[in-house]
Amino acid sequence: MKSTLRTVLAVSFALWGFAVNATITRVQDLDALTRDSDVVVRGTVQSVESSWVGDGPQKSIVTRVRVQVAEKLKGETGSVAEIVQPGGVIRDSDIGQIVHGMAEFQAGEEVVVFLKKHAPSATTFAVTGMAQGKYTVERSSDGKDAFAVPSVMDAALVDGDGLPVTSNAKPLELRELRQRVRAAETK
Amino acid sequence: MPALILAAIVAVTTPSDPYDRNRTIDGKHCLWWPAGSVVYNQSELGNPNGATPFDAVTASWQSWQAIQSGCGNLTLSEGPRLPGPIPGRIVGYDQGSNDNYNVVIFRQRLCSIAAPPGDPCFSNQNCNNQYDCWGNASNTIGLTTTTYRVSTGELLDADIEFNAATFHFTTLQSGPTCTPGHYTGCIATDVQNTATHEFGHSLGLDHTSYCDGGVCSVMNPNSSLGEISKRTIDPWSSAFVCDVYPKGRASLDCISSAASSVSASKTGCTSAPGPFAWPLLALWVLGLRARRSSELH
Repeated sequence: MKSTLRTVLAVSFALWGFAVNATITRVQDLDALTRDSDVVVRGTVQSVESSWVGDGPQKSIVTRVRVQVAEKLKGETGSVAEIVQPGGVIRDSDIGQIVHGMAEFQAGEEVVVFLKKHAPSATTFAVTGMAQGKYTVERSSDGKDAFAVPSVMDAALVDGDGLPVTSNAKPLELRELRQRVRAAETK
Repeated sequence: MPALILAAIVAVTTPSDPYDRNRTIDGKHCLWWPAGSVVYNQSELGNPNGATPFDAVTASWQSWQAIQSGCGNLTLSEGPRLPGPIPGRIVGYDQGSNDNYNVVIFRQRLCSIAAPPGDPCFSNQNCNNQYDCWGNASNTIGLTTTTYRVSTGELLDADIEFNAATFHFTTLQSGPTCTPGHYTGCIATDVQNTATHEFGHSLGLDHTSYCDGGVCSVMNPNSSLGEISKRTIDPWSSAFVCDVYPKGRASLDCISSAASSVSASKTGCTSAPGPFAWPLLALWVLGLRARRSSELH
């Protein structure tokens, strides 16, 4: 029970730090996320670096997230997968930018991410389905239990015809997530 | 045991407050505009592949301004329609400029079609500005980008993009819901409904699933084809305006330190249960379940 409490508390405190997301996007279940992703990996966030791109009035902030890959659930990538997405905070500049709906990453966190190449020839990735495509891995202190917790998905979700739906993304055991991704890949 | 942990995790991940505010990335501050004027500018291009959106967009920010006029300290207004590509089709923020427009843009093309394959803009994530296209997931309807000061939460810029490359926006005042593929004389993705929601984000509101008495927040994340209910701002989002932007006073941050949490709650910064309550709630859930379990045994 002690390890359970620690796990729950760890998850709870981790959730404090989530900035909530806001946008309107289509819901994607695990099958759809897997199908739409070039790569699905489990790994640890090595670094999160934000920078300006563009010049003059076209300037905006992007964030590069490097994930050290521990396990490939779908597709091929190097030992490090690089995610690039809009928004972030420029270090020492006091300027931040939120692009509502994007997943948020913190260095050191263990994640399962569903990734799509920015372009067929690109080596960088976007998170599939915005925040829907990121799960945080939480482990019990004895290491016996591992769970995949979806990002707090606070986006407006609609189906393919624009009809309202509720995300059915729920925390699940990591082994179940792994099984479902691999099953979806073979469908 | 894993099922118990999962239940507790679910318990702490489903907050729903009457209104919720966006925060800085470190969670220390809520986002707010300083008292004064906020000006929005629509792109003069409008939405050439669909219904003309200008009046519906104007009606959207005006509904927020109507509340501000009663109890708020902001004056929302609309500046001239902007020509493109610069500045009218540009999302972002230039620190060196005093002309950072809060633009409202309907993107007509997907960047995967508009930009050449292999263009560095894909990995730089700025094809939208370079090629005037929708650069995010094609299944996303709208997106608001806000720029703020990390040290205070002060908002500096808010730009709104609509994905007209994928979705069919309509402006019919009333009528039946469109069916896929038929968009004449009916309501599909209503511009005013969507824009009212997005302007809420631009003021610092986040989503909430809160509903009461059959009325849901305009910031409710659920939406539907043909929906127009979000044209009308709900009481709780109105309260956000009065709480955070009090007339004749400075706009209010929410401070996450324990010392100031009382004053924050008094000002309606975040309604119960608030982020501090979730770990305690998790403990309570676990404790309750453990007790029940032991009683059963």
